[in-house]
Amino acid sequence: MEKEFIELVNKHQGILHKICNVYFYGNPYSGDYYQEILIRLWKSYSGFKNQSAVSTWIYRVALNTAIDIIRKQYIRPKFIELSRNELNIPTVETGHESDQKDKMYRAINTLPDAEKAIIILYLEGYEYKEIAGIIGISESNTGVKINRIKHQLIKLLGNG
Amino acid sequence: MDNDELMSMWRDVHINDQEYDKINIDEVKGLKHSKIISKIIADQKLKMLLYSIFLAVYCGLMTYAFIYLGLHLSVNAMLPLSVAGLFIVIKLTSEIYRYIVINSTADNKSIKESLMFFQMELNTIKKVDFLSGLFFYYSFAIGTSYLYLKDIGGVKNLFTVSDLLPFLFILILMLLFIPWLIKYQHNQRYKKLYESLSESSSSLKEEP
Repeated sequence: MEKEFIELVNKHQGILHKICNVYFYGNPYSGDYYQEILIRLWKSYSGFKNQSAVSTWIYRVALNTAIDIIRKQYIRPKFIELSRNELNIPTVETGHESDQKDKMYRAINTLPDAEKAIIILYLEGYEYKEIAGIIGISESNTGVKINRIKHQLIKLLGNG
Repeated sequence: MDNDELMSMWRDVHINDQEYDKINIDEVKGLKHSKIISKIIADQKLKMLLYSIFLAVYCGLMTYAFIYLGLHLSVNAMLPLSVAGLFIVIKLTSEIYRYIVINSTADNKSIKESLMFFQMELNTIKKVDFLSGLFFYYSFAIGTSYLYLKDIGGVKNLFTVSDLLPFLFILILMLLFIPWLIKYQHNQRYKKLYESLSESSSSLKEEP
């Protein structure tokens, strides 16, 4: 079970990092939140019985964890600080590509938490049916929402 | 920029993403939570522990005083003691509920279902805070009124002693405003959370 899990997570690490970036872009604790996602994936792995595709399950748990971390901090709003040594603070990329990335993540960051989940799934190439399943809304509603979010992002990126 | 450009821009900005380090499964397996979440939970546990200690000390002192020493206190002396005990019990209960909510997860549910689950949990906190707050403040107000009434020689003197009319007015206002005050306090404390939940909730509604 352990070996399968390691292979699975190593294969989908890109997805997990993208989710972290979407929800915690520029946050010095994003490395720590990434670890929390891995822990929660491991905990729920025993309950995963292949009713859905592996990537769908990974997305569902990772998105729920990311949103849950934000909510938990609102319940205990006192700022909790860790020293820089306790954290693996990622190095910041420089150059044109980084500017584009920054622009894109900043634009996505303006969306509500649920819409961030919808757009990341769309940008990762998921079909409306799969997105609807992960989010828990109808397929037609997913289509409407994706169109609206896309226009909103295009407008933001065009103005930026 | 059109729709396709958005997708290709997403692909472009990730094309040179670095190879990520392989995960350390032993580290993941050995931890219950990451550092930040552990600190949030530890902070909450500490609060629960503190109120539990206060409650234990309070119960110990009361048992020692009333059972071992056999003290008989007047109602005037008993009231503040009871209010203090009630305060500790209420604080401990609400901290326990907060701990339960912080620990509960709905990872395998859809985003919408987990949102509804969290809203339900928050409503439980709201109900517990409201009912316990109401019980505490009303007990306090009733206790204070009782002491004042005793001081002036009973209800019959309430309207004859003109100096006490402002007190009566303040008491009525207090009783009326307490429920509103508790709700206001709760809404202020969780303002950001409510904003985020309602934003997410309305963004998942059916659109025409």
